[in-house]
Amino acid sequence: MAQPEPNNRDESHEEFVRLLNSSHRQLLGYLVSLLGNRHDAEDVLQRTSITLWRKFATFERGTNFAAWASTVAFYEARNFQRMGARSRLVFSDALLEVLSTERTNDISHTDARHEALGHCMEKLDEAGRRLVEAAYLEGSDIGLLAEQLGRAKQTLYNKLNIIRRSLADCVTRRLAEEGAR
Amino acid sequence: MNFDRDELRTLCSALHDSTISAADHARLEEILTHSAEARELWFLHCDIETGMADWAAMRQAAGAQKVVPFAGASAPHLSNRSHTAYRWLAAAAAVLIAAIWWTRDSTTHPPQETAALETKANGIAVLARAVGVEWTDGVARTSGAVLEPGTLRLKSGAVLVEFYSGARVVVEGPAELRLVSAGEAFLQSGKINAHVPPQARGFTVGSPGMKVVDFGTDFGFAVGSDSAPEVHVFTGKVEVASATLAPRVLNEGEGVRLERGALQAIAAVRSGFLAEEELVRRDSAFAQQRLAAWRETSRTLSADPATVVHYTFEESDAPERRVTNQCASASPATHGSIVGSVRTEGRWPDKGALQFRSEGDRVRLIAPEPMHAVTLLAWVRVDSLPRGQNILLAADSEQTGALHWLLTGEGRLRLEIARDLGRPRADWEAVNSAPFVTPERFGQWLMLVTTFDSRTIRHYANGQLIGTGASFAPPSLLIGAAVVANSSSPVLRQLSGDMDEFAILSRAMSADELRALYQAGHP
Repeated sequence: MAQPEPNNRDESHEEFVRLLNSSHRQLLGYLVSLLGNRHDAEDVLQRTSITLWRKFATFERGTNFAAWASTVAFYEARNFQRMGARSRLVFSDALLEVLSTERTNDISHTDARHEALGHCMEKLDEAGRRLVEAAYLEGSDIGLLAEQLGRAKQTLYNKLNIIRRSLADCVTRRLAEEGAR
Repeated sequence: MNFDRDELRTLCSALHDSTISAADHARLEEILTHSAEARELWFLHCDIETGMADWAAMRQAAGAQKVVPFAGASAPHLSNRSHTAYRWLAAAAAVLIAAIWWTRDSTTHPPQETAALETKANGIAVLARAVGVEWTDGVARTSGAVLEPGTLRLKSGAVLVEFYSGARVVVEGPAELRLVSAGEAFLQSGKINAHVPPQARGFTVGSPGMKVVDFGTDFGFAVGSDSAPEVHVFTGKVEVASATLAPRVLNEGEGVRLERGALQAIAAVRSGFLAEEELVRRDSAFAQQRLAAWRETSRTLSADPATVVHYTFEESDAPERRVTNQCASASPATHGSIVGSVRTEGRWPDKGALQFRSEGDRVRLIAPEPMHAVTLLAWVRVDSLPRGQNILLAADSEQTGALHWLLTGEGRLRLEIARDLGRPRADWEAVNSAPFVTPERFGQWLMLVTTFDSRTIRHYANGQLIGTGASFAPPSLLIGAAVVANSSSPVLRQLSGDMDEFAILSRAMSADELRALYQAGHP
């Protein structure tokens, strides 16, 4: 495994951290599309970052870091599915390959989508925001919120589904408007 | 291929929430395999997914989160939580890689990190000691818990509260003390003994009758339900005020009693109030008693004919790095081999434990006998749950009946039983509990138990049932060669925390037995 020379290490490390930070969102989005949920994607991204650092010497400066990193992430994801998540439902290897190829091109839209989403979230009512927090914050629990509200858990999942839809529509609309401008 | 956009979006949503059924998953896979348009929509929804998580984390970091009074996170663990969350990273790729996560800007910090910071921000005091306390509000707070604004109600026992201002207050039950801020409390009833160092000058304790403002001192304050409230100054001076009376300064050795609306001078009596030194002495005596009580129960558990493995982690480390199986009929293979882990303090100061921190840390054991029912028990103090799967026990084998016992990223207990359905790899049937090991319970000793009686899987935490589910009946249950707090899989799945007791029994213990075990063993 190629490691940077010790005297270049600090500099190399700084550059690596900077590149990894700037691609974090894209890589996470890439992995979610392969693995289906954020928790597994976070898991695999953490493993991936270790491998990326080990292989960083082979990265050609000036080329697309996110694209290079996503090839490593792909193998980590597949490995994770084979070894770690046996008991879960996973996509077939054939579908993974297709998703990976297309997602690598699609990933350049991620940042714009996130920005648009920021505006769209503002239109959400307070009940919707609470639900999003219950579903997305670590340590929160949708079951608990359901209990507090005296609603069935499935009702909240349905509501979350509707919120995701309206957010996706809002993001699509916003991006189309921006593109038209 | 034709597909309905709404159908696809519902399937995506179910997959993101991990609530999708096998049939729906197959349908989603079919749609995605055959339609580029579907894949585009899928990618959009994946970005919405990570974007919503970012938004929620940012909103929480901005302080919009609601205040949960007395989140019981342990102070010393809180202070190093940020280090422990990614300790595995440090181990895997040295300090170098760990720095990556540090330098990431706050907006992309993982939510659990911000949750920990948030808990800390709401605290105003620490429950430094709690000795023999019975809480009347049913909230079990243990030493080290961070206290947020709210009321402490003690039926009996005594506690030491360290306010963030530096004031230290011994509260003797029965008592009701409202914590207002780092520099203010309100004594509804009961007795307190306050030590206020110079940096906490101005520390104020209100009561229904009068208010005491401290000028750097030691004083006692008693508010009885059927006796007049009294203030006793042991050293320094305080100012006593009430709604109707002019403020009055009390010096060392002086005291007042509020009777019929007037302040009567009395002599200060130090012995009437529980001193911190006495509380500390009681605390250590209490710990000794609890440890002795646990040792007794622990011997009974070791002697149970159904006990296959019982580790108490009490032996000294030399010469071999071995965990002794305390069970009388233990075969040599059932003694555990420690890999990586170091010894640490357990539930009580004189009780040993093993610390699981880095990627390699584990205990290896072999429990060869097949079983028809099982109880898995562990006392653990979890630092964080950085992974989707945090192993308590994992069999190496994938044969039908092999067991995996773990905590999920959301703090659910989970038992997985391998089942051979003729596919290349084993399927793992699993039953989860409700989330229990959530961030406010990080840093506290918890008794986690799962039983399986060949029909039903039951999960217990601290002696209470937290989840049940039916399972297929494997011909027998297998542990065989296995790993505690880690797994042989190359995927990182180790536990981040400490363990000070671990047992495997070849029968399902009852709810009553487990409740009694918790009563005898909780710190």
